[in-house]
Amino acid sequence: MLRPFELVEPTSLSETFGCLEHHGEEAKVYAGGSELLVAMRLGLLHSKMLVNIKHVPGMDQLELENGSLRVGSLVTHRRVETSALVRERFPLIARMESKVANVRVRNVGTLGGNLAFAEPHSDPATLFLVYGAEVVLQSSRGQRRIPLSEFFVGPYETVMEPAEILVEIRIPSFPQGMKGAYIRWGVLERPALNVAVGARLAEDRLLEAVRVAVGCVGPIPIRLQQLEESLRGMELSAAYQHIGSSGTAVRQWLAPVSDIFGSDDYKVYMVKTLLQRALRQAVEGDDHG
Amino acid sequence: MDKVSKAARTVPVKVTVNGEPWEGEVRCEETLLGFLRDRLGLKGTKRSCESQVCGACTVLVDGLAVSSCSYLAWEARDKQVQTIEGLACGGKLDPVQEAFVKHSAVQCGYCTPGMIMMVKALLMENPHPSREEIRNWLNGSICRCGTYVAVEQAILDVAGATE
Ligand SMILES: Cc1cc2nc3c(=O)[nH]c(=O)nc-3n(C[C@@H](O)[C@@H](O)[C@H](O)COP(=O)(O)OP(=O)(O)OC[C@H]3O[C@@H](n4cnc5c(N)ncnc54)[C@H](O)[C@@H]3O)c2cc1C
Ligand code: FES
Ligand code: FES
Repeated sequence: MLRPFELVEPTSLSETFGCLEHHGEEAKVYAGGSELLVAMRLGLLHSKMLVNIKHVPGMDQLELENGSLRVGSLVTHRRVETSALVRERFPLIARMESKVANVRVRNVGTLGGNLAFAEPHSDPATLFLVYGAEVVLQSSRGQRRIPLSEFFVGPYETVMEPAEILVEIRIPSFPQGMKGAYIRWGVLERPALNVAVGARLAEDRLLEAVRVAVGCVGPIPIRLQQLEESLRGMELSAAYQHIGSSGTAVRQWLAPVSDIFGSDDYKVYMVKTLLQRALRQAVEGDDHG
Repeated sequence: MDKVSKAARTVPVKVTVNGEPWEGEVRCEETLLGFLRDRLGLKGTKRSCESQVCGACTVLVDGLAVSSCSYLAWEARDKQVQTIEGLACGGKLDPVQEAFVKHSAVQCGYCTPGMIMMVKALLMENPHPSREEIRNWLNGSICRCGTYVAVEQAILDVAGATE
């Protein structure tokens, strides 16, 4: 059973901010409700008031602008998954979306809700990191754009201020010649581990540019910049070997804990394995988007 | 119908359920599952995990499969809701129901209404799904009796697959 709460349905951003400022902690932004309602039912979270933002205009765009994909925060997983534009220009994102949760969750769950909740087991967050995505946040004080890599602070915690909302996600295309791969691993609904890689080989087959992101293992999904640095300029066989021997560093960067998804040792081992696999898939595959 | 512009405990709702119009007030926290079962007496839709994991509570809202356990009733305002009770027409079973009977894709039957609504949504979108598409689609529809293989056969049959 859900405990009683009140509902407000603003039809503009200013009304939304007014409402969130007026009610403070008591009010929660409500989009698809797929995280919120489960958390409320389990008693992990109680809200006296839900602010349904689905009637606020200007947050449902899914379009290309100067090579970047603009995803309004209200766009659902299912819409991204089935969008012809995304399938053509960002096939990796469409495929990632097809594995999120199940069809029912994807029909209601929004991209804004996914990132704003900062649940460490997010599919889009990890993949969007290798694109160098940004989020657009807005409050009554105005708009700010910040890199997704600076958005997450900890589990269920972001840099968003009270009464600030996420309005859009901007995902730039890969640079010319870069190809990507995303691998999610796990047996429950959410991924137990996920990794994303972007890689570009120079003509001499050396790794010219590498991007690496890992999610689910540490408190937040992150880019492994030190690993990216050391892989740059390597031959592929050396790169696989380097990843294979980076266990101690991976443990240090990600600070894995043992939980229902696996032991810390297992996670370190699997991160290495999945990164090797993702790198191979990226350079051998055909995912330019 | 108007959106709720001032904080409210109840929401006025007009909704069509299996072709029948309904109008009244629902509590903000009332789920579509509770609304269907407890107010309309439509007990075909089942309550199980209540966390969008199992699919027993699946209904269609404007043709989209949703978990009614985690879908607030007022979200269905001005929309068409279809439940398992709305499938048979004039005493004649829906072809998906027929196929489930034919292939014994039912054991205890608890998951079946939700499973069938999921299949309806699949076939509306993709009338000739492959085995793999069926499996992906039903990821998130749990059958404790393990009828999965029979369900898959029933779907392939009703979709006119030749294998
Ligand atoms: C069974 C199940 C399986 C799942 N599996 C996966 C999975 O495999 N991969 C995955 O990535 N996710 C998974 N999820 C998480 C899924 O709920 C999210 O991906 C979903 O997109 C959340 O969006 P929502 O609109 O439903 O959020 P809501 O529940 O409406 O909101 C979530 C949180 O974000 C806040 N919020 C929402 N929108 C905004 C906004 N625009 N600005 C500021 N704050 C906002 C809300 O206040 C709330 O705190 C799963 C969930 C369930 C229930
Ligand atoms: S009861 Fe709704 S998904 Fe299980
Ligand atoms: S038939 Fe018993 S749960 Fe599916």
